[in-house]
Amino acid sequence: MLSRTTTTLLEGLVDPRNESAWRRFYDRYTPMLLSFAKRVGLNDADAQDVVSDTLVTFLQQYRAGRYDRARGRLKSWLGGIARHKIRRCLSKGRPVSLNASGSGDGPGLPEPAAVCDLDAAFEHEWQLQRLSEALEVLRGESDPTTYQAFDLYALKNWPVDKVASFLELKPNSVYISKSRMLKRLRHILEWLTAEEE
Amino acid sequence: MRCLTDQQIEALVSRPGDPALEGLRRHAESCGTCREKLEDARSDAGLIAEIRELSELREAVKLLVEKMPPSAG
Repeated sequence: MLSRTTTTLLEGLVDPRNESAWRRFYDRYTPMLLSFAKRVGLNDADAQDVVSDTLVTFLQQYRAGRYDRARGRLKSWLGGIARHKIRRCLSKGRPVSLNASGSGDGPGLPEPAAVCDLDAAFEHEWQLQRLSEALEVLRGESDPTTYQAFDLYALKNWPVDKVASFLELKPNSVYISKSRMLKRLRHILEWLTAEEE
Repeated sequence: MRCLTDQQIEALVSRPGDPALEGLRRHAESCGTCREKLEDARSDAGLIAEIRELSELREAVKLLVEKMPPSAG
């Protein structure tokens, strides 16, 4: 399923000529990283710079063989790079030192308020990213009408009768669609979470 | 009282403080099946709220993503 896609994607990144692998990696993680950077207080330009820098650094380190999936999760690796770049951006003009893991600040540096929430903010963004990937899987594997009923009723908040009429379903089928889709979404989320561990 | 319909369960979730639904609420508390359905529906509402948040966040950065200078792979 999607994790297999992630594996394929990461394998594709090894080859500098594989532009589509880079594009898919970029398209998947750019919105999440931008959202993270904005959430912790960066302005638009700084957020864009940090995200570009994060992705390029990840790619360079990945191609240099410094990311071993067996020894750490993509979340930890990508998150560590992003947090470091953001700390550096938020601390412009101040010296920043790294600890042995490459992800912490040196002692005695006053932290901007937003920095304190970096870990929690990244965790939240990653959960939403996982949700985004789960929705992608759900949409891909579901009957289009069932997914549309779920989308219009549960996500776009259309009244049940309007959805039923629009899709030529019985109102009860709309409720059932929502219930089935959410149940399946939970299973996919559990699966993706387990795969990350 | 008969077990609650999906519509009634959804009403309890979306209008938690509505006094007009007190009878339905009392039934849900005393009926194991309906209580479970109500708990599931509350959990569903939480997941839907997360999906909406995701939607809003992605929409908020959509322009920024489009304006990002292309990064060379």
